[in-house]
Amino acid sequence: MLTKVNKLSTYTSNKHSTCLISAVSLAIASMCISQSALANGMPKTNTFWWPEQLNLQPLRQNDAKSNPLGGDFNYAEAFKTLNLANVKSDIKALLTSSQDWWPADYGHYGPFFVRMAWHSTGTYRMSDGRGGGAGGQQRFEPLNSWPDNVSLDKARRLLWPIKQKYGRSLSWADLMVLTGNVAMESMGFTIYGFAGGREDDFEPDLVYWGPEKEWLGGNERYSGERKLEEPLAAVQMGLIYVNPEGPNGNHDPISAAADIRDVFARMAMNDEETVALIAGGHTFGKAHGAHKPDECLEPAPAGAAIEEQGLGWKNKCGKGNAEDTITSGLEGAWSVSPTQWTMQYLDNLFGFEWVKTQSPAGATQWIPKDGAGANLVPDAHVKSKRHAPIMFTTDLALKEDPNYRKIAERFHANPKEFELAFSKAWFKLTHRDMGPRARYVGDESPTDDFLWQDPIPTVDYSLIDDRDIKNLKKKLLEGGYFRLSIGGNCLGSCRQFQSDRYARWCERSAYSTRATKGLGS
Amino acid sequence: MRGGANGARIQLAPQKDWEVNNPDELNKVLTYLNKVKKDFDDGQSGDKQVSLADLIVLGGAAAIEQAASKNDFDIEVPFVPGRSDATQAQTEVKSFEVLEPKADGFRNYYAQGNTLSPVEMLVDKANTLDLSVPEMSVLVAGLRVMNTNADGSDRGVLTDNPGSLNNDFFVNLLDMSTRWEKAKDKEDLYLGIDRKSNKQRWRASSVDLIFGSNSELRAVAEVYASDDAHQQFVEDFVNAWTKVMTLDRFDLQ
Repeated sequence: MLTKVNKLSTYTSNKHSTCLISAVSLAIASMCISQSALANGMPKTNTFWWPEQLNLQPLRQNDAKSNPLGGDFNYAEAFKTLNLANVKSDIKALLTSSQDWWPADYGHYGPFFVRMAWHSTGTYRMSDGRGGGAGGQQRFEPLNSWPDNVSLDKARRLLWPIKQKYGRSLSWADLMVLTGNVAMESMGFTIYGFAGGREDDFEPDLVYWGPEKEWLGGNERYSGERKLEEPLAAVQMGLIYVNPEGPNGNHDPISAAADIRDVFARMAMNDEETVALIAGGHTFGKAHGAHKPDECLEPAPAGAAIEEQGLGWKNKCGKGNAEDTITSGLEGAWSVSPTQWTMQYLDNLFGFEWVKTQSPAGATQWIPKDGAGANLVPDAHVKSKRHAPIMFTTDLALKEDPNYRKIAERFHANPKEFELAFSKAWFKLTHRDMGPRARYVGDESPTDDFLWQDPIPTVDYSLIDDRDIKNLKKKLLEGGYFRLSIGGNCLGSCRQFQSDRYARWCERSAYSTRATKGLGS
Repeated sequence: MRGGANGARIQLAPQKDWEVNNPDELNKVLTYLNKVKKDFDDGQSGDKQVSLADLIVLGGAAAIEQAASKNDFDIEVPFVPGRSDATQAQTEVKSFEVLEPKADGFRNYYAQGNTLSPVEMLVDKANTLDLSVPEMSVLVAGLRVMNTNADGSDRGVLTDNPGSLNNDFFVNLLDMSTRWEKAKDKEDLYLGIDRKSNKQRWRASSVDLIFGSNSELRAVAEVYASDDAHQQFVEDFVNAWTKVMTLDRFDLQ
């Protein structure tokens, strides 16, 4: 009877411990979606009987009734009451307070939190504006239980004491990004800036993540010569970007480069930003693939037993954490000092010749040829152990693809340029989905305009008054273009508003809404 | 719409004999409340009376105010008199039998023979009470720390001070220094164990643990467990409580 409790969550797959989730290559990931049989007593939706019926659910999301903070809560005002310096110093102290239930690699949670922040915002895609960090959606299914987000449940749980302390004044969405920033600062990197203002949701977003009905499935979204379906911006169901082992795990850096270019472009990143993000990001931390996931990992959070309290992927091999951790299935670090900002990633990428090898989990990755650098990288937990540095197939794309290589070599020769490029790209990655600067809150946001913010000049002249408006209305109607004006210009200018979150924000500007309705009636 | 406190049918068949109402205890409480009613009514010179139905609801209000005052929250639970007491002759026993709860997650009650799980039955119950997700959550948490389980057990009473109204349920549920495990050979019982000392701290049901396990309910639990939410917890509890207490007050709508 009690095994049914998981049905309460909106995501019911992987209920059975035999189903396994991991981002490791498709070959070893045995996936399953249990089309959850509805128990007797559970109501069926109309779409169960009539799938062709129009679904109006998207228009009923985020009802104020489901928000414990109530409809009148103003997050931006609450955020302004924070002393950001105090928050940051609390986060900084947490970075090196290793917890026994999830020990920090190299005694520093920084790289782990960078991954959390990256994955929270990295779901953003330009073509429909969905995904992204706002809403704190990583807390909810499906993202919470995505194969690409393995272990990030633990990252957020580590942050709970900070969230609890600052309550409603600091949303999860802002906290995740801010923590990524503080982590990088504490590792010696200069951050470009931080803006708050990402209000938390209290239910999952409805987002089209792809046609496949299988985790890490990725064939249906492609047609012709590897043409990815719009509006998607990831190569497989449940991944945020690309398969680290190359397209469909083919271990080919050149075709990996093509996938990377396609997917990053859909997230608004050009080649330079892409190289900066990959090289910068992989300067920190390590990948985890200590054991075979299908032999060790239990279901994702949404399918985990109730006593796991929302934590998933329980690992029954070895200690189940620390040096036995399984995340992507790839194993190792790219640099010798993974908790410091260094040039070692690019040094190693260009300094070694790389050959294929297998991680303990069975994923294909690369190490220096002829055993070079075998004792270079310290183990994240075991003092006596050292390892060779590693590269993913997607890392080698930066070396093998001619255009990526040109940029990577320039960065390698100009560390300052690399750091600035990474800090700007990181700022864009973590703020792009917020839209215009008008939405930024807090005193740490950069004052310069970026084109991707769609800047609008400040009004530095007197505005029209009621009399002008009356006269102008008359004038506008005199032209006889009444209907054209509604369809073509007025409504059109509002209709470009992208994503439901944008739309909600647009609706709040009562003036434009009323103007549209007024002219139409 | 049926049911509710109005009519005080809890003192009549079939409600007085329902397992969920704990008949022995109910009997004692009703005896006392009827005495209060009689003393009050007898003491009036005019035609003033208090109904048992109003006294039952007023008793809840008084208990909540007292439980809140233990945390220095000075609140007044809204109360509007006007319920009256039905007679057995006005009560068709067969027709009322369908209202018997097979489960009541608000009081950690779950009878044999259910098709749905305890947590599904909680949601079903909350739905029939017209509650939102936060209202359901705050009611469960408040009722637990006030020690109101149907069987008087300590399942989900996640507080060191049972009987006082505060957000302890959520704070302790989300505390990472506790890990949870399923109790052996016991239906729907989980044990909260101190990660360091390995000593047992709490006992809980699946209805309790779902607020830490389900990602949406956990998000609500986090709001109420935060340092800035103590006052809000009490206020929201009282609002949700009052909503339930007045669902059948069509005279007020």
